[in-house]
Amino acid sequence: MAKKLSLGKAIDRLEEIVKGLESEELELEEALRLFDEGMELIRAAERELTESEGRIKQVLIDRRGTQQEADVELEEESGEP
Amino acid sequence: MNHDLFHQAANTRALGGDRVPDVWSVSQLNALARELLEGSLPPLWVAGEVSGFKRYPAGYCFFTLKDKRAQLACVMWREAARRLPAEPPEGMAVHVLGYPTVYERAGRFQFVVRELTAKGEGLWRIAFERLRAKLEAEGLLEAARKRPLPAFPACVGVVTSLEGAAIRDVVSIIRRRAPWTDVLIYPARVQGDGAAGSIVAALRHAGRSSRAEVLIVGRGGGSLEDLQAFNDERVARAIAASPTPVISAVGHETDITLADLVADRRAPTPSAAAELAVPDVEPLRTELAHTGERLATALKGRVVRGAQRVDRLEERLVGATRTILGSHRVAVDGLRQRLQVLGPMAVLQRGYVLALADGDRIMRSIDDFRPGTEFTLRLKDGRVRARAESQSEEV
Repeated sequence: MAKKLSLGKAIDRLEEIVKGLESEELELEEALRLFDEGMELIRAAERELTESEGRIKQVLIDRRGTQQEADVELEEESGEP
Repeated sequence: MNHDLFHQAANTRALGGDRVPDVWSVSQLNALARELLEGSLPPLWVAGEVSGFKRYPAGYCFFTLKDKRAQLACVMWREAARRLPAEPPEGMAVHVLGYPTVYERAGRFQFVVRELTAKGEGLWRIAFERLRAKLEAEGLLEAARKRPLPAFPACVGVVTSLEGAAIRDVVSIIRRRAPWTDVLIYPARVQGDGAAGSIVAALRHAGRSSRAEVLIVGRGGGSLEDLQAFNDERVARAIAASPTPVISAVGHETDITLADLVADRRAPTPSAAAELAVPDVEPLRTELAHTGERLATALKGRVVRGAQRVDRLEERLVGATRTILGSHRVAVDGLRQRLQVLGPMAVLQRGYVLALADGDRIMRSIDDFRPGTEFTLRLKDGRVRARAESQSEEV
C-alpha cells in the first residue's frame, strides 16, 4: 500500500509557502528553497489528482467488534432514478 | 339476528365435543359472542377521534374512539403500540385498523387495534417535535456544535444500506469528483425493525476506527415511515456524539429528520451529500495551476527586490569607499609632509652634510674615515667626492 499524499496537508502547506513568498522578506536562498518545495508539492498534488485511485471497501464487524475491510460489489447503476 | 351464524358457531362447538347447552353460562355466552364477532368480520378500518389514550407499563394501550353519536373501546397490544411514533393527543382524528371482539372477562365489546394512523403525518410530527424540543433543550442542535467538514478528505465513510441507489450514487459521485478518495462503507439497515440500532452501531464503528475523515449517513428517498429510523432518538444522539463530522443525507425533500438537525451538515439526498463531502477535481486542478503561477510571481518579485537591494548596497558601498579613500588621501598627504620634515633633505637644507661610503652607507664614526678612504659628501644641492687626510677624536 503506497503512502498516499495527503492532499489537504499539501494544499495547506502550499498556501503557507505562497503567503510566505509573497509577504516576507526572505533570504534569497530560503525563497528559492520554498519555491522548489512549492513546485514539488504542486507536481505531487497533480499526480494525486490524475493518477491516484481510492479504494472502495465495506467494513465488516466480527463478533468481537473487530473491523475488517472487505471488497464490495455494488450493482451497476440501473436506468432507474 | 343472524341465526345462521349462531347455529354455525354452536354446531362447531358441538362437533368439538361440547354439547349445546340448554342454559348458557356467562363464560360460554361471552366466548361464543367473541367467536361470532371475530369470525364474522375481516380486519377493517374505523375512523374516529381519540379520547383518553393511556399506555400501561406492560406496553399495551387503551383508549376510546368516538364520533358524534357513539364510542368504541379500543385496545392496542404491545407489538402494535410499539410501532406508534407518539401517543395520539386527545381529540386527534385517526384511522384504526383492527377487529372487534368481546373481552370475555368483562363482557365488554372492544376493538383490537393493530395499526393507528393519524390523518396526514400527525403522529410522526408529534413525536418529531417532542424529540426536537428535548434535543434542543440539551443544546444538541446548536449551530456552535456544527463542525466544519474537511476540505480534502482522504477517506469518506458511508453509513447506509448496501442495497439501493443511495450507496451507488455516493460512490459514483466521489469517483467522478475526487477519484483519489477512499470510501469505507459501514453497512446498516435503514428501514424496518432494528434499523435505528443498526445505524447507531455502524456510526459507533465508524467513529471508533477514525479512518474516515467525514461520514455520510443516510438513505435514498422513501415514504415518511421508511425514514423514521432517522427520527429515532438513539440515531440522533449517535450522530451528535460522532467524533467525525457527519453529513446527513435522508432522501426526502419536504421533511427534515432529527438526523438532519443534529448532523454537522444536511444534504437533501445522498448524491448531494457526496458533493459536500469531496472537492471537485477540475477547479482543484485550476487552483493548483494558479498556485504555481503565484509561486513563480512571488519568487520573481523576491529576486527583483533582491536585485534592488544589491543595487542600493552597491551605491552605499561605492559612496563609503569614496569617503574612505578621501580621508586616506588627507592622511597620506600629512604623512608625506611629516616624512619630509623628518627626512635627510630637510636636514641638508639647513646646511648639514652627509658623508656616504660606497653604496650610500652613511658614515657615522671616525673609524669610517681611515686616512686615504675615499667617500662622497652629500649636500643640499649635490655631491662632492673627497678623501680622508687624518683623524682626531676631538669633537
